[in-house]
Amino acid sequence: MAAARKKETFWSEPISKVDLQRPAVVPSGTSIIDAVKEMKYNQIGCVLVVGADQKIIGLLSNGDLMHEYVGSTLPGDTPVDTIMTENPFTATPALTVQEALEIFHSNPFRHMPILNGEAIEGILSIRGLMVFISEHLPLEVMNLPPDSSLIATHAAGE
Amino acid sequence: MEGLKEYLTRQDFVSSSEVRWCPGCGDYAVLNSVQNVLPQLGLPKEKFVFVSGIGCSSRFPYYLDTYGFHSIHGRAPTIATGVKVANPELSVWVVTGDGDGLSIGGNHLVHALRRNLDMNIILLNNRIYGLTKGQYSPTSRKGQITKTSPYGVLEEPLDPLRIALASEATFVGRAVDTDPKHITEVLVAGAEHKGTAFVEILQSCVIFNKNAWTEVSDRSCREDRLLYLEQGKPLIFGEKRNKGIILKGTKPVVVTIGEQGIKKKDLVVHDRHREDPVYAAMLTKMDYPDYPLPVGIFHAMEKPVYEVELVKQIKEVTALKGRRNLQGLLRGSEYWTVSNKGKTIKRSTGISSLANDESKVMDERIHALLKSTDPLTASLKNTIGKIFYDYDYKRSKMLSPRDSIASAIALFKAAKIECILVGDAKRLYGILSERDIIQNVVLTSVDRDRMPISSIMRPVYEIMDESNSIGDVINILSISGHRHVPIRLKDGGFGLVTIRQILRFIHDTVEQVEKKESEDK
Repeated sequence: MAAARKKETFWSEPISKVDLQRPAVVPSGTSIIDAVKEMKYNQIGCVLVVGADQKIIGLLSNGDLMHEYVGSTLPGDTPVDTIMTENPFTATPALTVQEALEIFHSNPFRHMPILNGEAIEGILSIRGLMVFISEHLPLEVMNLPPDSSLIATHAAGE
Repeated sequence: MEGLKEYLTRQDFVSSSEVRWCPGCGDYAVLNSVQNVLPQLGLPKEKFVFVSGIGCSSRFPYYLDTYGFHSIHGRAPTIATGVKVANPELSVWVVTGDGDGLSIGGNHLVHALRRNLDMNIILLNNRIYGLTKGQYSPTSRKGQITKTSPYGVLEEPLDPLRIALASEATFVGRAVDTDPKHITEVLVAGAEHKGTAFVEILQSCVIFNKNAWTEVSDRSCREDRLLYLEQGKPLIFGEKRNKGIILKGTKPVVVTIGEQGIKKKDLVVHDRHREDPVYAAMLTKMDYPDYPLPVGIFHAMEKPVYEVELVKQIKEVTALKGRRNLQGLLRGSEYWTVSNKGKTIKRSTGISSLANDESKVMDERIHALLKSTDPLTASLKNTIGKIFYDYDYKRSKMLSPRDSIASAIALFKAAKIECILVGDAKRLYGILSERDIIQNVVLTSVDRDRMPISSIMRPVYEIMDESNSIGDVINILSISGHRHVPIRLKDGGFGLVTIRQILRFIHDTVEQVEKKESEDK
């Protein structure tokens, strides 16, 4: 009999091992339209807003845009600063996978900037976190037949 | 049997069939050499079998007064394998060519070589399909003009010896048709070798590839252009026997003895028994005009012989389990029944076949693998329906494809959701995410009151079933790049599962597990 599988240990892995997304970054004062273009170009659901010293001062997400901009009377050239989330939640690369799960569980956002000191390492998304977890579970998640009813229970294929 | 050596002569192996090769064909020389070799092997005539495929060379069995089989294209090694396994006491010979052996039967040759039966394979290489009148073969030179390559062959030729080495052949040799004495030496050594002896014989096709090898095999220049490999002796060649091969790193270099301080002892000494095939492969890379072309025995080593191992295995298993009955196995009770609809497959219960114990052990292994003991991974086998009903199912919203973009925006704002299903009770047409709205509404000037959702929605990547496992759904989400996956519910309707819901489920499962663990302590 094959040995029973051990309890998964990837929970304590640092978030630096997860594939982070390349961030979209715009300077403070950028128009909302240009910020959305930047998000589209980078194929990411948020854009970081930095001050003159390149430090993050805010984060603009699709959620912010939906609730603060779409349907409002604001013109497209309004600076992003008006509707962005100020001082967004950030973390260091030492954050563990389990801590990240906890953060996404108790907060509504989907993207979290990861900072190494003041340098932006990348964006951790809930999607990136899920893919990381699933990659550690090849038998249960990754290497499955397209139809789970096809999983054989007998060596001869029944 | 030793006495037979004296008794049989070449004449005993000459058949009464009229030999029909083109006048001047190298096959005659090879046939003569083989007829010279056979009496030297000390076996009675009836113990020899020649098997061939299709091609000029494959006419061999007709011209030898032995048992023979002019078989099907490329399959001589396969049929010879059967002959040898069934009758291990026979001396089995395969005669093939560059087309029969390396193209049509390339795969058969490779596997016969790695199996290592005690047999001999002679591959006559004239770099052309002669019998079918001059098409290019797997060994035709790049640029060679033939009927099927009127402007020159574009492919790299195969090297039969390197194929043999790569196939783990235990005896690899080469000879040329213009030196029958040398052919005989190589073939005798091959016949005495325990295992498959592979010998390539270079020959020209007088009609379709007259000068295939003449630049090296011609009597007038042979000494300068061929390198005769002799066991334990330095690699020396040349009419004056003053040229040789040294190694610079792994590269062979041609030198002249007496020049630049080169002495005979500096030359590479031939050792065909080297275990690693690198040296032999290096020799196969040497070719005229950069080098002399090596001929002789490149590689020879003892390895277990297939038919001996097979007989041993049969004996061992028979001693352990007794003799089995083939009919019993074929009509045994291990079978499957497939229903008319092709859906239900039933396996018979009373399995009494040979592999009973083994199949049971393997089934247990699969069960152990599928039955994860880790609570989280085990939880992923739950159906996705569990997540849908336990986590915010009322948030799954659907709009009709004809609804306006403005109505979708209103729904997004009111329900604080990330994604909307687009469809009706019977069909799902697409999904519409926050991102689709933002990128279309902010960056373009669509008339959000008049344009329908269908103009900006995304088609559905995959609809999962409520009964699919959570693992299945995570898999699809990972592959699709989407953050939401629609599911078909038991009542025929549709729902939506998001990555956030799945992460919540994982989070809660882990929390419960940890809580239980701390309670247990």
